[in-house]
Amino acid sequence: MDITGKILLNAEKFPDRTAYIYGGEKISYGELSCRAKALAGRIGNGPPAIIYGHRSPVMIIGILSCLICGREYIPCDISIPAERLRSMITQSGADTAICECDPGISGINKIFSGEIYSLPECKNNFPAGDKGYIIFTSGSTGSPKGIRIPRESLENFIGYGMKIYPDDAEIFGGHALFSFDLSVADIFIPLVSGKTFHAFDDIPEKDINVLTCTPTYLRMCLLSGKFSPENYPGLKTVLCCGETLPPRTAKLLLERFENIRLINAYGPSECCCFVCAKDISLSECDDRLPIGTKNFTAGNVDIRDGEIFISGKSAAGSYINDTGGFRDGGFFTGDLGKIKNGLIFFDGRKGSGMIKYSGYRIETEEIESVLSEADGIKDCFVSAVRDSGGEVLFLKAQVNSEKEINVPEIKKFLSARLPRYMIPKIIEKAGCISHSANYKKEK
Amino acid sequence: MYITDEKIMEIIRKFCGENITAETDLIAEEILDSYALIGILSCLEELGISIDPAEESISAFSTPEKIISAARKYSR
Repeated sequence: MDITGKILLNAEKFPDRTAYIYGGEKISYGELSCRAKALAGRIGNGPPAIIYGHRSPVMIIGILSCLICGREYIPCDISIPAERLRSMITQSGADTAICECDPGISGINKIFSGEIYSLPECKNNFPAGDKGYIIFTSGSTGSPKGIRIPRESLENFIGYGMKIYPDDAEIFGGHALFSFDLSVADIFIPLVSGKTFHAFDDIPEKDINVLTCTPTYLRMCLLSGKFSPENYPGLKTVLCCGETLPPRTAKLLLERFENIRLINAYGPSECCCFVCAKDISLSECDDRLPIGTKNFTAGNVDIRDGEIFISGKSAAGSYINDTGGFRDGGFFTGDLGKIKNGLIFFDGRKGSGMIKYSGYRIETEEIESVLSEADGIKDCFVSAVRDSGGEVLFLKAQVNSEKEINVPEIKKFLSARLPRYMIPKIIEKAGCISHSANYKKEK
Repeated sequence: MYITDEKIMEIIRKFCGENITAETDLIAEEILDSYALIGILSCLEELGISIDPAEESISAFSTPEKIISAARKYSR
């Protein structure tokens, strides 16, 4: 599937239709296509480009322009601190940043909204590219880890996603930051299908027909009585991905919204958004929920020694700096799972320092590595505090320091280097930190 | 069933750590994030106290004391 071609064709067929809305800003297919082609002409083929900002239409223009001219795009939300952004640029070799606002860094060719909206039209024809995107997640070495997703994986995912999402929906809602790969579904499914993507931060917009969200976000919605069929008459489908969907949350939604379709999806960022999905019915909500069906997936999903192994086009990606779980012609997810009666189940993480908090993947070693650089800290240990069900409640850091520690100062130090969700809530002084061979098991 | 302040405090501690007092500024000290807030509100809901986050500003949750009084308002 040529996703770029499909979006540009949609623009020819119905130029006035709204492609994207966020807050008070929107962009039509015609303008999106025209601006993206102009920007593609301006930047041309080359190294990856950073797409920096917070959900403005310029970011959508930037993403499409990169796909047109054959550059990889690197989505970067404004919540990412400058130091982390610099590491992303160095690792990826990015030379251009398409900016909604100033990222506060130098040494890169910055193109701002004002210029993008005043570029002359571009009639060039670009050859179909094989480049997709690079997304950064937490890495265990102290810097973010870059995952390279080629066009092949992206297009394979879009083809699968279009079969999962309903085709009669007009407005697709999503809250995921563009630097989080759930946004790949948010952005491309509607644009390739000629529909509208309506993005929001806190509360879903009332006009949506589809909501793509993390289970945590769905829980937040359900806490409010306003998230009801009366206020959301058009909402027919909710797709959850990014973390475990608690049966209780699923049940609450299905009971409150009669006839709604709830989809539970699963996939690591390495395999482009999600690779499997399963419709959830009320009768399934008394037990652990399946994450997919074996015979309908984006890539092959198998279990190897208890671990979920993904192969096929979904696993055509790679890491920028190492091979990690990419081997044997596929990707070892580090997630434990099983397949029972054709249904796929998630059984937790294989013993690593990686945890999930609020839908985000976090390597505790990365936090430790940054925290060790803070003033006066000799050693530290970051762990997750969990509830009885194993869900992460918050992150805790125990630090070894000869003098008294200044928690607000340490948090400030971390804020300049790590995204907010990676900053331990509790930072306390520990007498002695034991790095025994088994310490990871306790995380 | 009457829910004691101590029970609510126990729930807040579960998501915010043991080292907090009724007056700790959970927002200024960057202890309470949206994830923790959802957790606290979900636990209160299980006890029959449904605080609607869309009806309250974030300052209503800035200290354990304020969360307790919000819980009281909604359990009436």
